[in-house]
Amino acid sequence: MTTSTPTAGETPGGAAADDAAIKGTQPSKSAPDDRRGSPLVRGVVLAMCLVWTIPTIGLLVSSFRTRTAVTGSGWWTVLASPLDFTQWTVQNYGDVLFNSGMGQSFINTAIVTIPATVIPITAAAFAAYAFSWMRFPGREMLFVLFVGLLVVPTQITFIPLLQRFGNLGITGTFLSVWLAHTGFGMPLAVYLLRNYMGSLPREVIESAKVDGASEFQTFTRLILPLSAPALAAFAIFQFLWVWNDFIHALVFLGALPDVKVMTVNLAELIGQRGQDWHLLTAGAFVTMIMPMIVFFSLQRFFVRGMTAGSVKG
Amino acid sequence: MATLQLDGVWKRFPDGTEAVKDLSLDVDDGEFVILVGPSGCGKSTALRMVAGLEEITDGTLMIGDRVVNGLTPKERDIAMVFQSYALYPHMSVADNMGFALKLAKVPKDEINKRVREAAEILDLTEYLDRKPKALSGGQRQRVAMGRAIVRSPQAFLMDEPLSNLDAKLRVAMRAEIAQLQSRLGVTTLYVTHDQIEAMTMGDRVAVLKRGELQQAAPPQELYENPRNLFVAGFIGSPAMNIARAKLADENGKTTVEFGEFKIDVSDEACSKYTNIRGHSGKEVAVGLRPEHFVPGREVPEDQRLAVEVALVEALGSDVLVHFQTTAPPVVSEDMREALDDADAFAELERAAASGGQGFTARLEPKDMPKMGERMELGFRTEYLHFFDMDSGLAMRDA
Repeated sequence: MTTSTPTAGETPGGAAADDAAIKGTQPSKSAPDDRRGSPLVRGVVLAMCLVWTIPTIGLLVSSFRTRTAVTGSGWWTVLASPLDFTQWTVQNYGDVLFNSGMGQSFINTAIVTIPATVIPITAAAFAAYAFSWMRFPGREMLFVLFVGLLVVPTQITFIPLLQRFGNLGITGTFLSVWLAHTGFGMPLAVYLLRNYMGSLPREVIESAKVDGASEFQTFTRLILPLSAPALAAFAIFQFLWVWNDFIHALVFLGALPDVKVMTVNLAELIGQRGQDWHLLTAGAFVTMIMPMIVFFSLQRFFVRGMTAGSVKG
Repeated sequence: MATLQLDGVWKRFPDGTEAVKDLSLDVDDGEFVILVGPSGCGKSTALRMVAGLEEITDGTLMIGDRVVNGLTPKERDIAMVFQSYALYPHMSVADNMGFALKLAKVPKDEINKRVREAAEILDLTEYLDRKPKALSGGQRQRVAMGRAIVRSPQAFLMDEPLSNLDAKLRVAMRAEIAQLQSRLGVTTLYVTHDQIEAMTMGDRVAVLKRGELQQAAPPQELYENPRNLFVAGFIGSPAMNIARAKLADENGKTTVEFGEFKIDVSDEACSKYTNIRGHSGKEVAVGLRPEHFVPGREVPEDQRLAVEVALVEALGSDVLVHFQTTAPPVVSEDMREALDDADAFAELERAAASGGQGFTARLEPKDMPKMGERMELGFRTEYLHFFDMDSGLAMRDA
């Protein structure tokens, strides 16, 4: 899973094509060196990155300043004397984590996010296999219907869902929000995974059949490992989406302290104490930590899986 | 190991195309049979039906003494080698080879043992821990073979296993596979569009055209006694020269006239093609293999063919001489399929419209002419072939 280019110059002729056919996991990439672009392009991109990042830097700086400093002067004033350590404080983080219930919210968010990522991806992987490699009547129709659900705005499902959850007696529980996120995430997951699995070489799957693999064994021993990039890409996607989600958590879980997720908690920091900018900045950073860790550690899967799933190589 | 028996097998796709029509073919225990034909002749479909990857529309397929029509590939106990090798990219060579055994719940040390044995046969021992992408094309091909061997299946099915290799390696692997097959004695059905593979590797060759079996015979038999125009045109490289000709009887001798040429038909040819006698004036298709041309000095003067050399291809071992004739080509569906190339057939039609066609002769290097030179050629008339213009069948009994 580390190299994406065929071992160059190893064998002549059809070998490169073989490589792609055999690996089948990545689309062939055209010369990666072309991507660097001209100095002008690079300069513009750099400038855009800076513009984009400055507010975030401001947020970061503010989160380490005292309440009076935050309300009294702009964050950029610290640039005059960045080494004056007396103006820095970690008090905000302490307050947010231990006095605003952010610590508990962090745990709640994790409890929501992990199953809400694992459940849809597991279900979608099975569905995507069936949609791409098993023959059954109405397969195409069903798939189109399923993917068509992507256009349904989740907001219109709130009332019917809440009624059902009420009937089942699971309103306000983690289970309800897991189910909701599973439903909302499945169409995209099935779509991405089916495209990816469908592009795996047919002969490899047939070969497994001839070797005596059942559908389930083909799925677990061949399709799953070969689809790792796409699975990882979707996992990151869903993870970030659920982690940063506010509305669904608020609607299905509510704002009680024992189930409150970080985004809901963050909103309350604004609502309750509109003046507490210093806490808000620190809170924002606490919620961002996890997505950043996930993104930076898995970004190579993210990029590769997204392109591989949607564009056939 | 077992026999394979296809009895009246049909493949009809939902859109109505008939890929395989009434195919009956027996493969003996341990026999190496090649399915060959132009693209789209249904050879791969036939093989995939034997493997269980395609459903059989009609007819019966037996492996050993079991009818396997409804069985899954798994239940048929056959091994298949694919054109792309279809190795599992995330598994090591050893795991690739042992995969089927693992699925069959064979004990681990038994798997190891059999994988090692197969690896030794195929010279893969030092690569057992590598992933497929770290192997060369030829090595991958051998892993695919190894995957088939370790299972000791009822039969091997191979779908153009050499077509992804470069020319040199293909020749080496051709010999290697043929050798391996005879050593292991496993019943093998092998699909190829390459007639050199077909001629050199198999015990018997089955030639298909548009889903229909044309002839199944040992390679030499196929070459010497093609059953119809299609087989005659398809087997042999360079291809047989085929022209429309007229038969005549002169002084008790049968002669054949095509374009500007007129030659006597030898007694051997007459006794082989029994149906040409007494058909004076009848139009037939005559076939002349390039390798049966000889320099003009070897035949009587009145039998020589005067030609103008258009192109000389020196192959080292022999020389291909191309020359233009006024012999009209046969334009038929048989010929189109035999050429297996839309452009080549268009060229043939163009030649037919202009009334002549190019012939090829294969001579020894010592007789090499120069381009543009006029030369005289002879033909060993005992090797003439005759086909009926309407049915395309060889003009002999049975």
